[in-house]
Amino acid sequence: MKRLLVVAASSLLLMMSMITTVHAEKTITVMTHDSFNVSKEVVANFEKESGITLRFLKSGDAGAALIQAILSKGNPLADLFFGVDNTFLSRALDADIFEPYASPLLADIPAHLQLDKENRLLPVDYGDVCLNIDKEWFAKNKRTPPTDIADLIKPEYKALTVVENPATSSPGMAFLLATIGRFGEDGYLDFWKGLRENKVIVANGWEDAYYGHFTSASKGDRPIVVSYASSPPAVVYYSEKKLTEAPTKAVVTAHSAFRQIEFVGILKGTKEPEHARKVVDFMLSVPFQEDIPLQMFVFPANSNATLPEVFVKYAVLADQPAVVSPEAIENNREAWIEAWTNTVLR
Amino acid sequence: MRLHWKIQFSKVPINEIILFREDMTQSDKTILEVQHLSNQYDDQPLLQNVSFSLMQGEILCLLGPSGSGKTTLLRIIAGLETDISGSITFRGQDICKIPPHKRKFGMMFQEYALFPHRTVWQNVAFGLEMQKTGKENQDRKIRAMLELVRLSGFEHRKIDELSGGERQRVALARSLAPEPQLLLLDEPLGSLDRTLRDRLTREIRTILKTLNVTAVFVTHDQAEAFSVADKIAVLHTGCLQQFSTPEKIYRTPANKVVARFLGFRNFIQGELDDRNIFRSSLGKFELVSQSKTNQGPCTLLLRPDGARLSTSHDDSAFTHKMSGTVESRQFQGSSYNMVIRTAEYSLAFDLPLDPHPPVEGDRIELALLPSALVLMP
Amino acid sequence: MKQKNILLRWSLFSLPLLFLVLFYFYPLIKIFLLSFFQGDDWPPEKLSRLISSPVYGKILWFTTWQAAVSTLLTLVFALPGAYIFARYNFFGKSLFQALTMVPFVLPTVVTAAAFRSLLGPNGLINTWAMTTCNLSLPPIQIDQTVFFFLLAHIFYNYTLVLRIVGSFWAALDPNLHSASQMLGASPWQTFRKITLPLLMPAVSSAALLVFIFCFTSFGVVLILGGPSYSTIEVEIYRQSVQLFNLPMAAALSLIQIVVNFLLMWIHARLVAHSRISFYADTPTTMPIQAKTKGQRFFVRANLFFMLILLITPLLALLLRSVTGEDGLTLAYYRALFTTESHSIFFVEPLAAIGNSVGFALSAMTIAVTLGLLASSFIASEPGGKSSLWDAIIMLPLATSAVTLGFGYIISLNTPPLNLRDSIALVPIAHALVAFPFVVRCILPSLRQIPESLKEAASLLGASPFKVWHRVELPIIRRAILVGGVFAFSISMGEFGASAFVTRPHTATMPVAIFRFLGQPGEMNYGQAMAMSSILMMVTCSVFWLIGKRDN
Repeated sequence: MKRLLVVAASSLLLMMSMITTVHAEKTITVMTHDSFNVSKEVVANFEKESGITLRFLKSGDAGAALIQAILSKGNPLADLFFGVDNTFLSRALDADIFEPYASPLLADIPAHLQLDKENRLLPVDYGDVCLNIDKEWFAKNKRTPPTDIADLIKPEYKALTVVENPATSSPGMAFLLATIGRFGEDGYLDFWKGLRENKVIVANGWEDAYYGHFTSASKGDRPIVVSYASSPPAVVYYSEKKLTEAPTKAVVTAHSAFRQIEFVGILKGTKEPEHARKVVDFMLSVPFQEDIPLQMFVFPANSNATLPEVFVKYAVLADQPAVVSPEAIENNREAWIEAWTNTVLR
Repeated sequence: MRLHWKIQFSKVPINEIILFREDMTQSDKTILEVQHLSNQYDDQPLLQNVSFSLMQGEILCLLGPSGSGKTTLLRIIAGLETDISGSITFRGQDICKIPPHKRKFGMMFQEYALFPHRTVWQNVAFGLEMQKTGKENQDRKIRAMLELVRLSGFEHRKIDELSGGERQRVALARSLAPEPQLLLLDEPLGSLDRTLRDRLTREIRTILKTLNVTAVFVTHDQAEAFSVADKIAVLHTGCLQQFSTPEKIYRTPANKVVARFLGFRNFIQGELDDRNIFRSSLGKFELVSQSKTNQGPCTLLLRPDGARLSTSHDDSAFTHKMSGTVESRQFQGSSYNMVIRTAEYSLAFDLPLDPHPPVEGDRIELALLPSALVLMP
Repeated sequence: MKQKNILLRWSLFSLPLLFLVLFYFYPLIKIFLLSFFQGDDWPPEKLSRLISSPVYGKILWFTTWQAAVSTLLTLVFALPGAYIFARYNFFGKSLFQALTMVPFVLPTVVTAAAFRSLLGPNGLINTWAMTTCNLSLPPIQIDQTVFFFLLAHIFYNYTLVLRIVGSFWAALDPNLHSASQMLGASPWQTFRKITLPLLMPAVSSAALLVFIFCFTSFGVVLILGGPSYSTIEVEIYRQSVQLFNLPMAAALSLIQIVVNFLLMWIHARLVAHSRISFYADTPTTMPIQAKTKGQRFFVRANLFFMLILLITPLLALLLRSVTGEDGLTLAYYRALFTTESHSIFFVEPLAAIGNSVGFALSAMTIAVTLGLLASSFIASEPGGKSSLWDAIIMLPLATSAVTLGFGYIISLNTPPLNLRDSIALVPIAHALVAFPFVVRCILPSLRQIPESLKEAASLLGASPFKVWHRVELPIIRRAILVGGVFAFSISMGEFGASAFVTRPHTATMPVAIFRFLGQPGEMNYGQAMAMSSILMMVTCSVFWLIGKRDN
């Protein structure tokens, strides 16, 4: 017992000493969400070249991290914030927490990704939320997989789909937006009514939907799941054995997907705006951008970035994603979610 | 705290406390019979082949040192230990399969095991509640019981507000209230001081006798056993050594184990011949009272109370003589404790104050009572 | 003398009080003020739906209902278990005891995975039943139903009742049970009239903790219950994070706090009033080997139940971590140690274990120290006031983590308390949740020490400190140990606060597990399961060692 106490006390001291460690002067803190990832080498190279030390602060999921950034307005926790997506873009801009910065690298980024004309938030990556299907399951059961989200309400796809709850999950929200973009504000609820009658499963989070119900990833019983268009390359990349073909397929036919774009911005009140800009440039530069696909499994915004082989082979992009403007999203979010909840869950 | 308490019979309507059953008055009837009882714990035998029987209204003491199995035996009779072989019959009925709460026995525990969340009254009431006695009847009985143990006025006290002696009396009242067919007492006086114990021992006996309760009383204290019991069962390492009246056990301990437990140390090695003459280094003793005539080498116990100073005008009863040197003389109040050295033995005797025994180092002549010479098997 | 005593007690209490004020009341009040009075919109507008919509009433009702049912079920199932742990010795007891703690540290997602691989539509049992009985539909369909998360609540909280009640039960004089039987009470009557009333302080303490846990349940309901079920905690998250309706989130947090506070206050008053001492003069008897057929059956039935409830999901998890596409494989474990991921956030399993254990030990030290001080104070405080303090100390448990987390962001932002992005926040946040636990474990035991014993000690010339050190501490040693074990496990399994302030090199095991589960792919899932199994084994062996030492 006593020895245990000694161990505990000393570890406490150690912790305390870690708090008081003074950071090097040129440290730039990037506040971000749980799913952010980057290679060690890429960061190390940047730090060596620029003399800036990067510090990453993960602050929960994308929504929670943004709210923390908004709450600490004026006395920011970090110098930069990465991870605002287009569903939260309007909220972030309304909160007025970002400083504009027209990075020269924006020239290499397609205009349709640059949603903020004042350049307070700069696009870093994007990906499409869409249906993923278990190819093996459909082959084994000799059925035709759906090619469009409208197919889902057909009787032959009864009890085959799992989606996420837009109230608690970001891909779930994106998929709801896809249906709104596709069927319009007047029609999307009818689609969902049909989906409910077709015995859709609603999971509260992506992990639960994908690893809990999707046949290809788990012991689930649903061969159709709402996920990302870049999930198939991840499945190949993280397969236990070498795969030559992706066991899953993304459905990205016209107006069947919603494009999520992630942005980075400099937080107002940063003490090192100069360095913060350098970090933004770094995040838009080719080395970082080329690192994105295999770390976060989304597409880099910079069109000069070369995609890794597994992406070239297995990743797809929607030609015509469903479109809903960030302003409309922020204004109607609660009403849409409420209507969706009433239609699908109650 | 009042140390002294006495039952005032005039105040207690005994007939109201115990509704005598017909068979309870027949005191010559065997009520409890234990036969060939054995019990094991972790393959260690705790009791081996114990048999005895008990009459209605008798108080039996289970006497033995700690670890002798006496508490285990009590708990077996209670039904709290069930892993046994052998048989136990109560009023002619085999009770081995009857769970403890259906045996209608009462038990008083070593540390009393009073229910701390209940008051004195509620503790005494518990057994009656279980019997579903009518409320009025119940109240009357509890009041009478509390009066019997002189705790009137303590009804609403909490258990942790009571002294040791008071707790003991609550425990007694609680176990007696439901009129048990058999009362089991597990060292009920163990944690009290000597004076209080002596007094309570007598009081318990009086109460039990007044109520004609058959009881089994566990103790390691022989004095307590002698003063409370009608019968004593001496246990040692799980074996029943002797089962008899207190007097008989004292006068003729069945074997060395019993004798040692009673505090006897004077064991003489010698030889018995066919005329019942015992020869040893102390001399020749004729054993008149011994019925056993095992010839050959054997051990004789000289009970310490069976000696007098040998004088010229000897009492005819003290026929056997022996001599030695006084090794020590200890004044005990009513007697002297003498240790006497002979050629081979160091023997202890209790001698009366008069005639005045010699001092240490002096030569001493003793006369022994033949009945105090007990042949050990 | 009396004056001095009061001063001493308050100076002892000042530390826990300061801790609560700094890390609980200050941030909470600040976020409430901000939510209600500084928003752009006039809050009543944002709050109007609270009354106008029936949804919130339903949520409050459902939250209360499921918490009550979960608590009741947990008690019913765990009390027999607590009894056999208190009274019997059996083969593998300390290992069993260690295993029962494992669910407590498992992150929700992992628990969900474990239950699904056992009871899901394609889980072990359904697959087996479908193949052996030739069924076309899985016979057990509890996924996304209320039963699934009730089951998970029992799974999580079983050990709480087992530990708190078990350690208390072991200290009960077994002769009380015998005495009751000898007075003609059947086993059931004995339990109802003697044992249960005596166990009440511990049972109600455990029940209260279970209730609060289930009342504030987030992950379990979110994942296993499916989206049709929502607790207040889920709604708070939704309102604040998804809808950015801070006034609504704050109002809901406030409701949650008030409901729980009232409950805790009532509980504290009950426990303080029914203050019963049954301190046995003799040390209670050692646990015994089950002897009769009935006893053996009872012990075995309980162990069997524990095995089914607690061990099979864990085994399913373990099995999953070594099963690849072609059967058994160690690939996931190998990958954990030799991963090709170049991510800056990659932590080696050993480092993650080190981080987890380090945070857990720090949190445990803080929580036990504060808990001990606070319990000593409460135990010596007279009735009415002590229940109020008791309830106040429990508040952190009843508070929405999201709300408090946001409170930290806006309040701990200036030196010397600029802790909002410091990793010290992790053990502090863990300790804040664990500290009420420790109090709940220690307080019943401390209250059992009769005043006379302390008086006797001081009459013998012991200073107050010596009385505490020599008399009280040894008696409550076991309770402290149980509290410490809980504090340790709360920290080991905690994800929220750890994720809030994760740095590349300080990721804990749950954080690492989440990292793997965040991306698709067989290797990710497999490594998550492998990491979960490691978490399971690390905690299990820590508790096993503690249990061994204790015995």
